[in-house]
Amino acid sequence: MIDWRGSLRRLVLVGIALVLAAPLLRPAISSALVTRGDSLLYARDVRAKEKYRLALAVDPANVAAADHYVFFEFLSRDGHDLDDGISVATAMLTRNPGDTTLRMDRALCLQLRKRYAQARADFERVGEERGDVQALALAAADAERLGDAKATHRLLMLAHRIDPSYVPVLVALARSRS
Amino acid sequence: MLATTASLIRGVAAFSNVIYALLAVGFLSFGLHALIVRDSCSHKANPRPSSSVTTLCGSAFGLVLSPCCTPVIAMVASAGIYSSSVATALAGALAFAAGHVAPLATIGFGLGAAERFAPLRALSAAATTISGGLSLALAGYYGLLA
Repeated sequence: MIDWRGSLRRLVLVGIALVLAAPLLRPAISSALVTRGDSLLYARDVRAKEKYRLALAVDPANVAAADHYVFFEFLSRDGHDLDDGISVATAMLTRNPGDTTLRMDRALCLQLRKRYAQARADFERVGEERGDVQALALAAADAERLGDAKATHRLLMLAHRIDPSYVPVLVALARSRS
Repeated sequence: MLATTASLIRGVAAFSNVIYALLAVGFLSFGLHALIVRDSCSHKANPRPSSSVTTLCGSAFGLVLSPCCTPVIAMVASAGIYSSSVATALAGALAFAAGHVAPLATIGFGLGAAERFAPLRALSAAATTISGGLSLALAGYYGLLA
């Protein structure tokens, strides 16, 4: 025989306990969702995006979730998705301006959307903050697209000083001299 | 081996949402059963759990394929396929299973031993409520992952 009053009391008790525990578990659940999204992404499953989005909804402060979400949007190469990725990255970068990985993802999305001035600023900042030759080369490419020869040369020289053997920079420098 | 592992991971991921959904339903059923269906006669000797509940719990725990375990399972499976020795493959699978089951077995045997002591019998109801609550939490967790 079921004791409904007792059952209801236990259910309410458990419900309260879970509601109280949920905020403590949010970061862990969000991280698990990111890992789940990664496993789907490796299997080339589009449901990965849902998991990253859910991870962000569970813990809006999860930078890794935002990073993976924005990178997924970059891989999609769809205009609407790219804009969505840019807005998510912008919101997160407002709170974490020092996150170069997320800034790099946003720059890649901006570049695909042909917003070269903004992409260049992000690439340049990433390149300077972590001495990333690839980011500086991409910033130089964007500066070249914008017709800023002086900035192009400066960025290429900066990249060349960090890694003198990086071929794309060597090629771009040779091209700018000729 | 890496290619096989990748294809295995892809294969597992293809129906992983079904596994997670089944786990969520299983844990939800177990949790609700533990919290709602309770013998109201507290003086009665603790009955053994029904075989259906035991099977459900065993299946749920046995089917656990968390994201962190999937690559390990795939690697064990790949090693088994590529090694010529059946014993090696079996040893790998058994080692993984033993590691996975050890914490649950410890809890199960520990709880069984504790229930023999009269003062601890009173804690049995609390333990059931806690395990029911944890099952509901796991149901939510696997529901999100599904």
